[in-house]
Amino acid sequence: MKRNTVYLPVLGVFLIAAPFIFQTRYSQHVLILVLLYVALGSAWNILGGFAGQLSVGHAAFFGIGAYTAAVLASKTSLSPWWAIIAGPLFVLPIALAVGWICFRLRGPYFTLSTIAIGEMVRLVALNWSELTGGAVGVVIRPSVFSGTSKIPYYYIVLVIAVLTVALCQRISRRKLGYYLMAIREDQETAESIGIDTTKYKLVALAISASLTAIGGAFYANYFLFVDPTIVLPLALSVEIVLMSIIGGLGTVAGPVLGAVLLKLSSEVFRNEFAQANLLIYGALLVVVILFMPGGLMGGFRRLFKFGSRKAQRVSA
Amino acid sequence: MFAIALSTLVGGCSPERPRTSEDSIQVGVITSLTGPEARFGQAQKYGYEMAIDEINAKRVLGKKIELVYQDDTSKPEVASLTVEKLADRPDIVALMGAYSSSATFPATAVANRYQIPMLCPSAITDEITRQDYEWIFRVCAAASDYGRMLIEFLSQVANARKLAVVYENTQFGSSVARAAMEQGPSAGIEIVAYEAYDQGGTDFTPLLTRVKSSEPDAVLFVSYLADATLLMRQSKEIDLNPKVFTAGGAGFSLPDFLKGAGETAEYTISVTQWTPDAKWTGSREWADKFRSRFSYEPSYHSVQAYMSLMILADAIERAGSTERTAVRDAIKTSKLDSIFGPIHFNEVGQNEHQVAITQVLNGKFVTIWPTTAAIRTPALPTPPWRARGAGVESGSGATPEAHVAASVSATEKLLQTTASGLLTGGIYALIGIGLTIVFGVMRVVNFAHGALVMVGMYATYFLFTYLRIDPFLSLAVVMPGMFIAGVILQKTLIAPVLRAPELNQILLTEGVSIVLINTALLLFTSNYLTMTTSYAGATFHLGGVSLSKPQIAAFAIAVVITGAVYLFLVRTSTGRQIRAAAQDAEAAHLLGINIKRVQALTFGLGVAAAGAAGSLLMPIYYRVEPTAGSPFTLKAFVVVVLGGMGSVTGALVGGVVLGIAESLGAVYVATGYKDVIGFVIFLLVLTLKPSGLLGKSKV
Repeated sequence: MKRNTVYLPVLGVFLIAAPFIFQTRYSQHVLILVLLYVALGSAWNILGGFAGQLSVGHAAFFGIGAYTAAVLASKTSLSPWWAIIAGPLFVLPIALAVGWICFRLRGPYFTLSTIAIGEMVRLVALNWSELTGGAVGVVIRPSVFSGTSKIPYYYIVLVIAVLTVALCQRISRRKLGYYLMAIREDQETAESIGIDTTKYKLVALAISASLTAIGGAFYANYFLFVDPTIVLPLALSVEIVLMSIIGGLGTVAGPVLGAVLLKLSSEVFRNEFAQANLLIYGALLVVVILFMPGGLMGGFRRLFKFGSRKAQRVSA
Repeated sequence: MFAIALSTLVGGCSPERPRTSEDSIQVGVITSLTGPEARFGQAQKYGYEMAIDEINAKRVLGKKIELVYQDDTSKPEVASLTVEKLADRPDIVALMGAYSSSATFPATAVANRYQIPMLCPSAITDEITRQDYEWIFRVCAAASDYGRMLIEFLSQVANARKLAVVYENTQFGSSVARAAMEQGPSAGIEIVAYEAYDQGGTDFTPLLTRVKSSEPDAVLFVSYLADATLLMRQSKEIDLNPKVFTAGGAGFSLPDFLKGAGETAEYTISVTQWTPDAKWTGSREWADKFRSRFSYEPSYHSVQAYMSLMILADAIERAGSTERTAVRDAIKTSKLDSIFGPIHFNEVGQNEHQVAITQVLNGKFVTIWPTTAAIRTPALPTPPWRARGAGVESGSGATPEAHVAASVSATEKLLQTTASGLLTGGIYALIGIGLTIVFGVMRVVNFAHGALVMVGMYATYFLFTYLRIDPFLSLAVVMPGMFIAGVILQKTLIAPVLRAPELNQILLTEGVSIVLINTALLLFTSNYLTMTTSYAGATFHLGGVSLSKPQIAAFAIAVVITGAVYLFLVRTSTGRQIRAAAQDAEAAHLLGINIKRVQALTFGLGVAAAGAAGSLLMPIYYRVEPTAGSPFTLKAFVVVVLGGMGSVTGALVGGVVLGIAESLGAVYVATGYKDVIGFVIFLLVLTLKPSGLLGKSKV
């Protein structure tokens, strides 16, 4: 408690002042990416961490958000920024359909089905050229912020990230959060005490997918170019999962930590050994599962407690 | 960890002070030094180096030019990022790059927004010059020029009336394909097939079958290197015989294509931006200089890079300044006579460059069209595959009678499709077996299975390339080796998580997969490594159906291995122990069975099966790169789900069903959605009949 009251305001000041401390466009870009991934990781965590449904297809929702912006830009006269609202609206029925199919499955089967869905969305985007431009992609003309400053984008993504994390925090403290965690721990028992598991899993999916779509819509408006290899690859889904696992599945700070770590190190490594970065993450994943299933957050917590239990679950 | 974070950003704290611009002019270069396009990036680099030497010998405005290279890792978002990084530096005068259309197209948007002149050496997508950019100049000819030249050639010289277009689903592929499609009809050419494929595909047989059944006079392939080789080899395998094979440059114009495709490259016709025997000023001397300097055959990719830098140097000299606007205006008014022909940019920033058509004759690229540039006449029509033999001197073309009119009956098409699917299914089955026995015994879902197949592929490649061991024979080495690796893997990493929640198992095996793939990337880079056996492309013809002999052999061996595993499980005592453990681990343990040993053995067996599949894949698909195994993870699961988790016979059935379904879907429905078929089947089975087509979990 005491830690939080000092730590958070300092962090807040730092975040607000950041674009003026780091003035090169490149470092501002890195900050924007980190914040975007904080939002994506936290959004995923609602479904994957709280509810325990390991989706490796979240890029589909990100991509749909991004393509909503692209379609608005290329086919209508509306500003692509409307995709921040329209994206989640499109994603919702799709997410619910996905949930209806996939939630009948458990564990690895569920995960596999999400991979299949993610790939299917990518292939549709790649082949349906009339709508999405196919492999050629869509160039988006900047509509609100012309000019090359990244500062407005930084603040927009900061707001998105803060709201997403705050939402996670609220969920974790309220009924919804507890229901989800109950489902994660033991779905049968949760059913037997009267929790409508299907309904709550769908709620978690809906929230998670919508937030991810908002991230996608933002990214389209920021990067100003959308194509299937950028917004829909399987690698993106895997990255999103990695962040939460390494940071600490099911915690609020976990995805934040994971996002910061992952994105910063990938920028550091990209110039020398891009593969070394992912290799380390893969190795870290293995190490975390074997020795520190609670992720880094779990590790921190154990430092402040006595008696760590060996067969610890991958949950905080 | 915040320390690491901060130190990274501190590096970019305040705007960079410009480097000493007193004695050098800084120019940014974006190219693909790593990634799938690294070969082309390297070719470009050679070109830039040739230019730098020439330029710095004479100097520009009394100064040397210094190139600042940025690697876009063959990715569009990285290319855009590097443009920003470079444009942000006030000392950088102009940019050149990137290599591919996919990377260049978004990068030009950024360069234009940052108002820095950018010369595109090699991106041909028409989109670049359709955006009203003020700052972007394209040195090479565009996709629409490719289309126009190809269509002209096809209608006037090759006398082709029916064209099948096969293109990779990328910016580059779609641009050229679209150009052909738009210009064909007005020249009297009907487009009888228009097939997109996902880049880096492993099996083009269904697609080529589809093309063959459309009975084209001519085929147009638009691909990069790895696919180019495979397309030609598999065209031979299924006996696709149009009057002429044409291509849209890129993969088909690299010297590596001649090496990789071997004799199947002969007679292929391609659009090119330049050849060493071009008649432009100084072209041949330049080619000789290049060869002696780099011991590498020059291709147009190098020339385009060279020209871009030469144009820039000339513009800076004429502008008399390094100020970006002045340089841009000077580029606009460029007028040069060069090894790449006359240089002149039109109002949309396009250099009006003539493309030419080459044909591979006697293992060399020879310019054959237009007549002003031609070295000799084209050799047409292309002799059918079976009429080509060793010792036949290429250059005269086939006699008209020798060209068998390739008409395919509906039955033949169905047989071909089913047969190809069946053969592929055998390999799928083998991959599935490894997965299913591991699940049956340990209830572990191994997400690293595809990566293990990839390991088997690399092992086979190295055994073949360095020890000359035939891939089929290398099974004797690969299988035991992978078995041991599997046992070690199980004991160290898998065993600890057997009691843990499923989530942990999924994540652990996924982590292993990531480690394997990225280790391969680090060690071998993402370049394709190709391997050609002496019997590659050997085909067996029966009726109208052509089947690749290596594929038949692979299928046979896969079935044999499946049978062997089945017999092992049913007839031997160890096998029975495994099955007992699969049925009920507790009870088996009580009966005195060493469960830990059984689990290790089973996992080892599963990994050995994956490795064997990798070995069998190599002679069929000729190539490997680190992500080659990844599609197989998901396919393996589809197979296992279809056949029922834990059932060996089920995996065989599942594999065959998947193979045939994919093949039928690709040929009769749509090639682009081929992989979707697998996913749809997967989801259907999982939701409707989760225990699989064959029912329960049993051997």
